[in-house]
Amino acid sequence: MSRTKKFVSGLLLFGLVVAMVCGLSTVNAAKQITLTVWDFKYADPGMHPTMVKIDNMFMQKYPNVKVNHVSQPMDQYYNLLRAAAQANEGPDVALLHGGRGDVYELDQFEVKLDKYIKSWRKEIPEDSWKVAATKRDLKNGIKLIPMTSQGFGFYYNKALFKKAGLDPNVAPKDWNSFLAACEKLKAAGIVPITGGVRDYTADFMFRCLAANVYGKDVYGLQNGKQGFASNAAFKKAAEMMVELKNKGYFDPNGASIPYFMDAINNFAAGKGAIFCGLLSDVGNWYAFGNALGKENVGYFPTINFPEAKNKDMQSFQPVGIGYGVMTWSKNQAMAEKYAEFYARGAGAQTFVAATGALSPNTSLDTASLGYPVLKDIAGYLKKNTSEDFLTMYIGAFEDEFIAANQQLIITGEINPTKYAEQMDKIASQHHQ
Amino acid sequence: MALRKMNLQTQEKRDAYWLITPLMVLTFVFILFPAVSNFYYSFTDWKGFGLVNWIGFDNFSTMFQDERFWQSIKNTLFLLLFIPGGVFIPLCLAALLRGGLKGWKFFRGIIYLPNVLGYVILGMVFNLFLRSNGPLNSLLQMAGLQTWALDWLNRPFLALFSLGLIYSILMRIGFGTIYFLAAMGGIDEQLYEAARIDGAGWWTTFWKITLPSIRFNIEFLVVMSVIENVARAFSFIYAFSHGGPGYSTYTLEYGLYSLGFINGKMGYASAWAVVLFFICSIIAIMQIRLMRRPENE
Repeated sequence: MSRTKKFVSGLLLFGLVVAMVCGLSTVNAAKQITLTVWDFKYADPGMHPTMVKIDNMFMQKYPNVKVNHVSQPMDQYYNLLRAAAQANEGPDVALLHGGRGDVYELDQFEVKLDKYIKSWRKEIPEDSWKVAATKRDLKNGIKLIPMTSQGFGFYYNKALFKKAGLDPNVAPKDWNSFLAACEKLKAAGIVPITGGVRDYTADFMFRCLAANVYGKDVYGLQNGKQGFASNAAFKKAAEMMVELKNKGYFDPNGASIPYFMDAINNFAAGKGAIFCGLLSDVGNWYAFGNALGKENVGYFPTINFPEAKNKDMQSFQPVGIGYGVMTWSKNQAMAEKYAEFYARGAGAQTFVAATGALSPNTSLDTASLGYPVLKDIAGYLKKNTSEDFLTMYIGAFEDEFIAANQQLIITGEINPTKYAEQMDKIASQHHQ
Repeated sequence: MALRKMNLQTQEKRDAYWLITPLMVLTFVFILFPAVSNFYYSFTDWKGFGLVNWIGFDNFSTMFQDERFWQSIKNTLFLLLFIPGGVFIPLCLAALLRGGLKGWKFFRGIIYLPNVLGYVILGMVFNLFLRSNGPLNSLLQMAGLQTWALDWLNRPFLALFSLGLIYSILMRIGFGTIYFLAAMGGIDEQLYEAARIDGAGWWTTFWKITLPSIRFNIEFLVVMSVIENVARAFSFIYAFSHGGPGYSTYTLEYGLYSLGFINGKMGYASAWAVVLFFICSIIAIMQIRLMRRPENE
């Protein structure tokens, strides 16, 4: 009898221990969350250490969270997201571009964030929230939390300007003075425009010139009220690009140099006087200020020319990039907190301070970073912005078509009239 | 006895079916099903995910009005023009090497080298080699041939011409030479002996004996080269020129990748794939007929 009792008691005790162990591990498993983040910036040497730091800050704030930050190649990024959407399985959080067709097309797989952002929505301008909503319509719901704004403009190396006999404090922002500056720089043996014609240089320059061409009327491109071939200023902008190429003002090796990151690094290394760069993330005031000296970098947003009715317009994207939360995520609440962490508070401030990202969040302080050129940029951003004309309808389909035609005009295979006609064709395809 | 034999035959048949089942399943899953479903998707606006809407012949009418489609057809046809070079040069080299040039084993290795490297690696190597500030132009400048130092990859015609020269000729030389050498090894030596006695020179022997003897191999290589150009050039073009500048090296195959996987227009890309499917089918039929034909026909 006592032997049976002992056996039963032992069995109960063993059962209790097993139940406790299982229970504890279940509790722990429930607490532990792994957030998978897909990102096309993470591998960038200028971004990586900062993003690792911010992820660690987030994991310190939420000790039960492990961030699995996965770097994906930019040229395959939306393709990979589409594949994830097809499988209804993938990252909890995905980095997305603002105002891009590919992002809007993934609408049904992106969580509406309107409720989540409600309490702090005012920190970010409504213009940015609008772009963060599918097809720029707030009724469709906000699908990403903007981390950066973006824009394009011309940086110049003041020391090289001085060397060529140019006044470093006068930006060559009119067409004639721009040509004259290029001529003087070339004569002094200095590459006038770093970057060349292989890929994004021409693209970004067109975006700068288009800011003056369309100004605040740029939204007319969305509904066909504005066009390309019928616009004399747009055609003139194309002619200007061809003229710069024909006069040999681009880096002679530029055709073989990719913009990211080689051309950027060349300008930062002083190999050229003028560079059409970005306002945020990389190839910006922060990178060039650090490389060339804070006082040595000048800036102007565009080239003014008589055919364009606007002057000194800053090409601007209210949202550059931001994190979105995917519908298949099993940790949506935490994923939303992660997306927020990069857009406001300590995480966002670290991101801005370490990378020179231009945040749309008005509560963040960038002026204290002490870059004089940032003051100039802020001035243009306050005065005159024109939303980047390509984001009026850009998706991968248009993106490729536009890039191909830009290559053709720069290589002289098509003339400015044909280029403008091709742009109209792209726009009409988009409107269909 | 007869019953046992019948049972054995049935068993053998059953075993045969079991043995070919894995292959049949794989063929169905990876070839037949995708090919048939591609026809279906070519009539839809599928993006590669989400809803599929039937749009009838819209993709085909868009395709026939799309200048990229016609450009890709033109580019593909232009590449086919290089095939005679890609067959004739290996043929001549094989005929020379067959005679036993000094050190030919070393050169045979060198010639075959491109076939050892993958298309992506070769595409990148030639991209670096032909850049405006690349080794080729540096060599030309050093040799005093400045006017020959061209912007190979950024001028549309030059880019397409370079693609044809490298992909359809240079990269075919290795395999072609080795293949023809092996084929020439099967020619009866007595024929050459008789020709020599009759006083035939190298060129006459080449035309009258070598070529007719390996006619089947030549035809086979031509068909293979067509397939290589029409349906297997993607990885090289992707690494070499990305289809550019503009659409100058954009082929049908590259286009369907770009439209489907980069642009997210899977339905539209399927319509392009239907065209490629029919072109490849015609080539396959030609190939099958060629293989079935007796060698001495």
